[in-house]
Amino acid sequence: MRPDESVALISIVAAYAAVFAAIFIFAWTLRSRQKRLEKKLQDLRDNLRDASRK
Amino acid sequence: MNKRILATASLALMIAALYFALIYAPTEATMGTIQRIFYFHLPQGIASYVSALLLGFASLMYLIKRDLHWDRFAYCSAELGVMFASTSIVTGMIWARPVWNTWWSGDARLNLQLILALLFVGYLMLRAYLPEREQKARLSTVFGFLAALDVPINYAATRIWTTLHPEPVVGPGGGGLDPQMKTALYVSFLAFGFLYAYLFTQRLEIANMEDEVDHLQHVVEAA
Repeated sequence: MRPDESVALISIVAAYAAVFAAIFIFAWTLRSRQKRLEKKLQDLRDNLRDASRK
Repeated sequence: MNKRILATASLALMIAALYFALIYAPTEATMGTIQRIFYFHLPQGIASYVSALLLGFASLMYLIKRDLHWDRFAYCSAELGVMFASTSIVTGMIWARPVWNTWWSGDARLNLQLILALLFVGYLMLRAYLPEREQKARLSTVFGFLAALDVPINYAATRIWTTLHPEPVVGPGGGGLDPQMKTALYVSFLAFGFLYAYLFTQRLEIANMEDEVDHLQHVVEAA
Protein backbone atom coordinates (compact mmCIF):
# COMPACT_ATOMS: atom_id res chain seq x y z
CA MET A 1 0.00 0.00 0.00
CA ARG A 2 1.35 3.44 -0.93
CA PRO A 3 0.55 5.91 1.86
CA ASP A 4 -0.27 9.61 1.37
CA GLU A 5 2.72 11.90 0.94
CA SER A 6 1.95 13.74 4.20
CA VAL A 7 1.68 10.47 6.16
CA ALA A 8 4.93 9.26 4.56
CA LEU A 9 6.76 12.46 5.52
CA ILE A 10 5.49 12.35 9.12
CA SER A 11 6.56 8.68 9.34
CA ILE A 12 10.05 9.46 7.99
CA VAL A 13 10.53 12.32 10.45
CA ALA A 14 9.27 10.14 13.32
CA ALA A 15 11.52 7.20 12.39
CA TYR A 16 14.66 9.28 11.94
CA ALA A 17 13.90 11.27 15.11
CA ALA A 18 13.48 8.02 17.07
CA VAL A 19 16.90 6.81 15.90
CA PHE A 20 18.66 10.07 16.71
CA ALA A 21 16.89 10.39 20.06
CA ALA A 22 18.02 6.87 21.04
CA ILE A 23 21.62 7.60 19.99
CA PHE A 24 21.60 10.94 21.82
CA ILE A 25 20.21 9.43 25.05
CA PHE A 26 22.69 6.54 24.89
CA ALA A 27 25.67 8.84 24.28
CA TRP A 28 24.50 11.26 26.98
CA THR A 29 24.14 8.49 29.59
CA LEU A 30 27.62 7.24 28.65
CA ARG A 31 29.07 10.71 29.17
CA SER A 32 27.36 11.20 32.55
CA ARG A 33 28.37 7.70 33.71
CA GLN A 34 31.97 8.42 32.73
CA LYS A 35 32.00 11.73 34.62
CA ARG A 36 30.56 10.08 37.74
CA LEU A 37 33.09 7.25 37.59
CA GLU A 38 36.03 9.63 37.06
CA LYS A 39 35.00 11.52 40.20
CA LYS A 40 34.56 8.30 42.16
CA LEU A 41 37.94 6.99 40.99
CA GLN A 42 39.62 10.22 42.05
CA ASP A 43 37.96 10.07 45.50
CA LEU A 44 39.05 6.46 45.97
CA ARG A 45 42.64 7.24 44.96
CA ASP A 46 42.66 10.16 47.41
CA ASN A 47 41.33 7.88 50.18
CA LEU A 48 44.02 5.32 49.41
CA ARG A 49 46.74 7.98 49.44
CA ASP A 50 45.47 9.29 52.80
CA ALA A 51 45.32 5.76 54.23
CA SER A 52 48.88 5.00 53.16
CA ARG A 53 50.16 8.26 54.75
CA LYS A 54 48.58 7.31 58.08
CA MET B 1 41.66 4.37 16.33
CA ASN B 2 41.42 7.55 18.35
CA LYS B 3 37.99 8.14 19.92
CA ARG B 4 37.89 11.74 18.72
CA ILE B 5 38.52 10.65 15.12
CA LEU B 6 35.78 8.03 15.41
CA ALA B 7 33.33 10.60 16.81
CA THR B 8 34.12 13.15 14.08
CA ALA B 9 33.92 10.52 11.33
CA SER B 10 30.58 9.25 12.72
CA LEU B 11 29.11 12.75 12.74
CA ALA B 12 30.34 13.59 9.23
CA LEU B 13 29.17 10.26 7.82
CA MET B 14 25.79 10.58 9.55
CA ILE B 15 25.22 13.95 7.84
CA ALA B 16 26.25 12.34 4.53
CA ALA B 17 23.92 9.39 5.22
CA LEU B 18 21.01 11.79 5.77
CA TYR B 19 21.76 13.53 2.46
CA PHE B 20 22.02 10.24 0.55
CA ALA B 21 18.91 8.75 2.16
CA LEU B 22 16.62 11.78 1.92
CA ILE B 23 17.82 13.61 -1.19
CA TYR B 24 20.17 11.53 -3.36
CA ALA B 25 18.28 8.22 -3.42
CA PRO B 26 15.37 8.07 -5.90
CA THR B 27 11.81 7.61 -4.68
CA GLU B 28 10.79 3.97 -4.75
CA ALA B 29 8.07 3.20 -7.31
CA THR B 30 5.72 0.99 -5.25
CA MET B 31 5.86 2.40 -1.71
CA GLY B 32 6.84 5.98 -2.49
CA THR B 33 8.61 8.32 -0.07
CA ILE B 34 8.06 6.17 3.04
CA GLN B 35 10.58 3.62 1.70
CA ARG B 36 13.34 6.09 2.75
CA ILE B 37 12.93 4.79 6.32
CA PHE B 38 14.65 1.63 5.03
CA TYR B 39 18.06 3.42 4.77
CA PHE B 40 18.14 3.78 8.55
CA HIS B 41 16.01 0.76 9.48
CA LEU B 42 18.28 -1.85 7.87
CA PRO B 43 21.57 -0.63 9.47
CA GLN B 44 19.79 -0.69 12.88
CA GLY B 45 18.83 -4.33 12.31
CA ILE B 46 22.33 -5.27 11.14
CA ALA B 47 23.87 -3.44 14.14
CA SER B 48 21.64 -5.51 16.45
CA TYR B 49 22.84 -8.71 14.70
CA VAL B 50 26.46 -7.58 15.09
CA SER B 51 25.84 -6.94 18.80
CA ALA B 52 24.36 -10.42 19.25
CA LEU B 53 27.25 -12.10 17.41
CA LEU B 54 29.82 -10.10 19.39
CA LEU B 55 27.96 -10.98 22.58
CA GLY B 56 27.98 -14.69 21.70
CA PHE B 57 31.64 -14.63 20.70
CA ALA B 58 32.73 -12.73 23.82
CA SER B 59 30.66 -15.08 26.03
CA LEU B 60 32.42 -18.07 24.47
CA MET B 61 35.83 -16.44 24.86
CA TYR B 62 35.05 -15.71 28.52
CA LEU B 63 34.20 -19.36 29.18
CA ILE B 64 37.43 -20.46 27.47
CA LYS B 65 39.84 -17.87 28.88
CA ARG B 66 38.07 -16.88 32.14
CA ASP B 67 39.31 -13.36 31.49
CA LEU B 68 36.97 -10.58 32.66
CA HIS B 69 38.04 -8.48 29.68
CA TRP B 70 35.81 -10.72 27.52
CA ASP B 71 32.95 -10.32 29.98
CA ARG B 72 33.21 -6.53 29.74
CA PHE B 73 33.27 -6.88 25.94
CA ALA B 74 30.08 -8.98 26.07
CA TYR B 75 28.36 -6.55 28.44
CA CYS B 76 29.09 -3.58 26.15
CA SER B 77 27.77 -5.50 23.13
CA ALA B 78 24.53 -6.26 24.98
CA GLU B 79 23.94 -2.60 25.88
CA LEU B 80 24.44 -1.52 22.28
CA GLY B 81 22.26 -4.44 21.24
CA VAL B 82 19.34 -3.17 23.32
CA MET B 83 19.55 0.21 21.64
CA PHE B 84 19.89 -1.00 18.06
CA ALA B 85 17.33 -3.80 18.37
CA SER B 86 14.85 -1.29 19.84
CA THR B 87 15.42 1.32 17.13
CA SER B 88 15.13 -1.32 14.40
CA ILE B 89 11.78 -2.41 15.86
CA VAL B 90 10.52 1.15 16.31
CA THR B 91 11.51 2.30 12.80
CA GLY B 92 9.98 -0.89 11.38
CA MET B 93 6.71 -0.25 13.22
CA ILE B 94 6.60 3.37 12.03
CA TRP B 95 7.05 2.09 8.46
CA ALA B 96 4.52 -0.75 8.88
CA ARG B 97 1.59 1.32 10.20
CA PRO B 98 0.84 3.20 6.95
CA VAL B 99 2.08 0.43 4.61
CA TRP B 100 0.63 -2.71 6.21
CA ASN B 101 -2.10 -0.87 8.11
CA THR B 102 -0.89 -2.39 11.37
CA TRP B 103 1.89 -1.60 13.85
CA TRP B 104 2.76 -5.26 14.35
CA SER B 105 1.99 -8.10 11.94
CA GLY B 106 3.32 -10.75 14.33
CA ASP B 107 5.25 -12.63 11.65
CA ALA B 108 8.43 -14.61 12.27
CA ARG B 109 10.96 -11.87 11.41
CA LEU B 110 9.32 -9.33 13.71
CA ASN B 111 8.86 -11.77 16.57
CA LEU B 112 12.46 -12.99 16.31
CA GLN B 113 13.73 -9.41 16.37
CA LEU B 114 11.60 -8.75 19.47
CA ILE B 115 12.99 -11.94 21.06
CA LEU B 116 16.52 -10.69 20.27
CA ALA B 117 15.79 -7.37 21.99
CA LEU B 118 14.34 -9.22 25.00
CA LEU B 119 17.41 -11.49 25.16
CA PHE B 120 19.63 -8.41 25.41
CA VAL B 121 17.39 -7.03 28.15
CA GLY B 122 17.36 -10.42 29.91
CA TYR B 123 21.15 -10.52 29.78
CA LEU B 124 21.39 -7.10 31.45
CA MET B 125 18.67 -7.91 34.01
CA LEU B 126 20.35 -11.16 35.03
CA ARG B 127 23.63 -9.32 35.55
CA ALA B 128 21.90 -6.66 37.62
CA TYR B 129 20.49 -9.30 40.00
CA LEU B 130 23.65 -11.36 40.51
CA PRO B 131 25.93 -9.93 43.20
CA GLU B 132 29.15 -11.87 42.61
CA ARG B 133 31.34 -10.70 39.71
CA GLU B 134 32.51 -14.11 38.40
CA GLN B 135 29.04 -15.65 38.77
CA LYS B 136 27.56 -12.70 36.91
CA ALA B 137 30.00 -13.22 34.05
CA ARG B 138 29.56 -17.01 33.90
CA LEU B 139 25.76 -17.30 34.11
CA SER B 140 25.00 -14.43 31.74
CA THR B 141 26.82 -16.25 28.92
CA VAL B 142 23.66 -18.35 28.48
CA PHE B 143 21.79 -15.28 27.23
CA GLY B 144 24.80 -14.42 25.06
CA PHE B 145 24.62 -17.77 23.28
CA LEU B 146 20.84 -17.54 22.87
CA ALA B 147 21.17 -14.06 21.32
CA ALA B 148 23.83 -15.29 18.89
CA LEU B 149 21.63 -18.28 18.02
CA ASP B 150 18.73 -15.94 17.23
CA VAL B 151 20.71 -14.21 14.45
CA PRO B 152 20.88 -16.92 11.73
CA ILE B 153 17.25 -17.95 12.38
CA ASN B 154 16.18 -14.30 12.29
CA TYR B 155 18.11 -13.71 9.05
CA ALA B 156 16.59 -16.75 7.36
CA ALA B 157 13.08 -16.14 8.77
CA THR B 158 11.72 -14.56 5.58
CA ARG B 159 12.77 -17.66 3.62
CA ILE B 160 11.72 -20.30 6.16
CA TRP B 161 8.28 -18.88 7.01
CA THR B 162 5.69 -16.96 5.07
CA THR B 163 6.11 -13.40 6.27
CA LEU B 164 4.88 -9.95 5.41
CA HIS B 165 8.39 -8.60 5.93
CA PRO B 166 10.14 -7.77 2.63
CA GLU B 167 12.76 -10.21 1.29
CA PRO B 168 16.45 -9.23 1.64
CA VAL B 169 17.62 -6.82 -1.06
CA VAL B 170 21.36 -7.02 -0.40
CA GLY B 171 23.67 -9.85 0.63
CA PRO B 172 23.41 -13.53 -0.31
CA GLY B 173 20.20 -14.22 -2.23
CA GLY B 174 19.24 -10.54 -2.11
CA GLY B 175 16.64 -9.30 -4.56
CA GLY B 176 18.81 -6.45 -5.88
CA LEU B 177 18.59 -2.69 -5.49
CA ASP B 178 18.83 0.36 -7.73
CA PRO B 179 22.51 1.53 -7.83
CA GLN B 180 21.67 4.93 -6.29
CA MET B 181 19.64 3.27 -3.55
CA LYS B 182 22.52 0.88 -2.96
CA THR B 183 24.94 3.82 -2.58
CA ALA B 184 22.61 5.49 -0.06
CA LEU B 185 22.32 2.24 1.88
CA TYR B 186 26.09 1.65 1.93
CA VAL B 187 26.78 5.22 3.12
CA SER B 188 24.28 4.62 5.90
CA PHE B 189 25.99 1.31 6.79
CA LEU B 190 29.33 3.12 6.92
CA ALA B 191 27.92 5.89 9.15
CA PHE B 192 26.38 3.41 11.58
CA GLY B 193 29.52 1.28 11.46
CA PHE B 194 31.64 4.20 12.64
CA LEU B 195 29.01 5.20 15.19
CA TYR B 196 28.94 1.65 16.51
CA ALA B 197 32.74 1.60 16.82
CA TYR B 198 32.71 4.94 18.63
CA LEU B 199 29.95 4.01 21.10
CA PHE B 200 31.50 0.59 21.71
CA THR B 201 34.94 2.07 22.44
CA GLN B 202 33.42 4.64 24.77
CA ARG B 203 31.32 2.00 26.58
CA LEU B 204 34.29 -0.36 26.93
CA GLU B 205 36.34 2.41 28.51
CA ILE B 206 33.55 2.97 31.04
CA ALA B 207 33.30 -0.78 31.75
CA ASN B 208 37.05 -0.83 32.50
CA MET B 209 36.58 2.13 34.84
CA GLU B 210 33.67 0.38 36.60
CA ASP B 211 35.85 -2.63 37.33
CA GLU B 212 38.70 -0.39 38.49
CA VAL B 213 36.31 1.40 40.88
CA ASP B 214 35.11 -1.96 42.25
CA HIS B 215 38.69 -3.11 42.73
CA LEU B 216 39.77 0.11 44.46
CA GLN B 217 36.69 0.01 46.70
CA HIS B 218 37.76 -3.42 47.95
CA VAL B 219 41.31 -2.18 48.50
CA VAL B 220 40.10 0.88 50.45
CA GLU B 221 37.77 -1.27 52.58
CA ALA B 222 40.61 -3.68 53.33
CA ALA B 223 43.06 -0.87 54.17
